Amino acid sequence: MNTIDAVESNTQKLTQAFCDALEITQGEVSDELAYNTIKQWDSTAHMVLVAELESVFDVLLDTDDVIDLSSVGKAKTILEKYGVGFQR
Amino acid sequence: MIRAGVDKNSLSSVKYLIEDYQVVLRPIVKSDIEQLRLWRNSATVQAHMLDQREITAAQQAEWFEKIQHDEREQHWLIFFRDKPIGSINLKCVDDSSVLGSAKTVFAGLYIGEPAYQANIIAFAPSLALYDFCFECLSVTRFKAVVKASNQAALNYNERLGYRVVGGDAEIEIVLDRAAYTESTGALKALLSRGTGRSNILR
Repeated sequence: MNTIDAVESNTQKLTQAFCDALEITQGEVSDELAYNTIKQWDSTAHMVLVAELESVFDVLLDTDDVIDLSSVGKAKTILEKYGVGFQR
Repeated sequence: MIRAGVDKNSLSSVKYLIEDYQVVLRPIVKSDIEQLRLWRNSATVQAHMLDQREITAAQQAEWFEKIQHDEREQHWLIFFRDKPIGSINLKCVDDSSVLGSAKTVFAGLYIGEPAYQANIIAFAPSLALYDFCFECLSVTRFKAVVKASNQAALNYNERLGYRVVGGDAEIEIVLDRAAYTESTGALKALLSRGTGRSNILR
């Protein structure tokens, strides 16, 4: 898989991870979607989301990352630290 | 892990300094009270308070003079990443008790910094304080009163294990240790992972 394909794939995987963890549709996932701004993204869902992202991207987030993971856009920024690229 | 100690700057009564879950709870001092007043009067905090009257600087100073010698309540400034973000407090339910021996206490919290009002870190001060109360003091039960319109606070407290025991416009909720322990295990684990940062007890 070339770099562009990998980045597209990662973006799709991230979107799907948010859909699965928060039980929302792909259309609801945007960079601006933030913690506690929809009823589905509460503290319980946040824990599920962290586990889902760790599983999908094979990373282990530290507490600072868990706290900073306050939006979809922030999730991309955090995962980029772990070498995961996204479409911007 | 709780790190707690006695604030040596307090001469009148025992004040506890608590550090856990990435936050530090430092007993408030006089130089904090204007920041607390600004937060307390901000629209986002005031809207959820039972008493929504604007607080003047004189009222705030009077309040501080009263509470700093009162062993039935204590107020902390919450620090996250070395910056103050809000305040948390404990008050005895029974007027004849003092915090050091009280079995049941009221707990109150607000996050004043907008950046952290909708953030998972908002759970950290409660986890740090409740752990300290259950493990180091004599507390067996927390009580709180929340406006029925404040769904975010009701959800927050439910996540900590609180259950509703009464009320209408103002909902009365209680939390016992067993429910707290059962409800918060995963949340505590999430906020106790490794981090490259460290908070320093002041």
